[in-house]
Amino acid sequence: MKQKEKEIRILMLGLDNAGKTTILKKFNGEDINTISPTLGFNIKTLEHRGFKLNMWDVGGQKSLRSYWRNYFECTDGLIWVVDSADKRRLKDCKAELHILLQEERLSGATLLVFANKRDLPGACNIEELRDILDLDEIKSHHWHIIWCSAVTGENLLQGIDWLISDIATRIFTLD
Amino acid sequence: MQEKCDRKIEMLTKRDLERKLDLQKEQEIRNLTNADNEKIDYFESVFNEKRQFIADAIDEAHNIDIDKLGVHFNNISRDILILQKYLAASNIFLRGYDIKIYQQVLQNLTNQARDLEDKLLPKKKFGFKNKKSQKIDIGNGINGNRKKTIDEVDSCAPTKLDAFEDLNAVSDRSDTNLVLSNSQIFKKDILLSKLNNCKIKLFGSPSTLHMNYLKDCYIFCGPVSTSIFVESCENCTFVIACQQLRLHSSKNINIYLHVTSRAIMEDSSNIFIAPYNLEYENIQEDFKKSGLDGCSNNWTAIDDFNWLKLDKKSPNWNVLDEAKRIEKWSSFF
Repeated sequence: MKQKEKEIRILMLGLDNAGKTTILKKFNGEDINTISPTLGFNIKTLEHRGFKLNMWDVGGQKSLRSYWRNYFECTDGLIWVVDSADKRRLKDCKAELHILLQEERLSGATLLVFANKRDLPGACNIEELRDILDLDEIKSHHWHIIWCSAVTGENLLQGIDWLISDIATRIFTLD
Repeated sequence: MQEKCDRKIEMLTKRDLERKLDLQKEQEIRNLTNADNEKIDYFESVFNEKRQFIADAIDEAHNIDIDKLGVHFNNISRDILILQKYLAASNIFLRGYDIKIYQQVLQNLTNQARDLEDKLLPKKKFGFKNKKSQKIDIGNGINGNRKKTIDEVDSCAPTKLDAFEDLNAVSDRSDTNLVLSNSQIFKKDILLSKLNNCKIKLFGSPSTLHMNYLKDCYIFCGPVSTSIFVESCENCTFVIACQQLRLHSSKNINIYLHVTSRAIMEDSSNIFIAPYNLEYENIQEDFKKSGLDGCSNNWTAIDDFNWLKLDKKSPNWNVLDEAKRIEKWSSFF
């Protein structure tokens, strides 16, 4: 974080179809009905609670995952978006997440797990996801899991606020 | 003479005033430092007390049952986090050097706790396991025959049995014709999986549709309000409408498509696209309920993740010849 400008860099990752772009656009108050699968990445800079958030949303297709590492540098916060209704791929989801957390360039980053699509019937709840994704094994990062619905916008603010406050606490003590 | 005297007095008064002001300023500064010192002293005692508490907890770990150790270490890391927050909140009045020292103390505690945890609680190895699992078919009695299946070694194996409890799925079937009405699928997340030579008609508006491991199938579906996700399908025909289409690792597929944003494909080939032409009773009503725009169809807007050249179209997909298109599906119903 560049402290003078209170700038925070947030990287949003997750499997394809998790809802990353929808979260970004909904949070920014944009129309979400025309979103296409992300070919490459989106970047948005928003002002929130006195911070300047640089949000990077990188496509989650298998063929794009090897490019994720190009975005790791200087990341203060990592948002991992999970489609809680896509139970078939939760194992993939867990594998990708744990590979990511071993990455040295992300070692300082705070992790927020968004359990998206909570409004769909049959979606996993937080406890199930925590278990399936083995979140309690994570000791290397400050982490937090919260459910949300990108379509309705529920809990997006709460999640981002937690992320920002954790990053702010961490960075200011290091100064 | 009088004038000289006056000037002298004036000068003296002025000096006296300055002296008093200086004194006052000094006093203020002293008070401020005292307050700061008090704050610093207080912080130091609280911090040390907490630090000792955490250090004791770490020592205590040796005498704790292994099944309670996980919780114990979680408490320790939580306490360290709280202490770190306290330090962060106090950094306004602490000296830079002290902050560094305190930060070091916290780092040492974290390292100690982690090292000890690694020693006492060997980490669960993370890896892919080939689990045997029994699939439960639920969802309005869609699936009658319950089979025990051993999943192949692939990344799509279900992780948890209970994770499938309330999924609406049609799976592990051959040579089946099936019609589902809107009341069975409306706003639901529908999964079609491991089907051979089946004809499935979803006459309604689900929230999302997942299709994987389909072979020689015909799938008809009303407007899907969000996305359709296709993986590992072969020799199929899909007549589908959605906001987004994501097609992965599939080949020889004809898609009669209505897509309001865009479609993408990855690791797929021999894909032929035609415009959506499904008709059934109440389809217009289903479009309304789904929120999908029936008028905007970008069926030729397909991005191939394995073909990044902009000037040339991907060879992996093509528009289906009009002569080869099926115009009416009624013979299939």
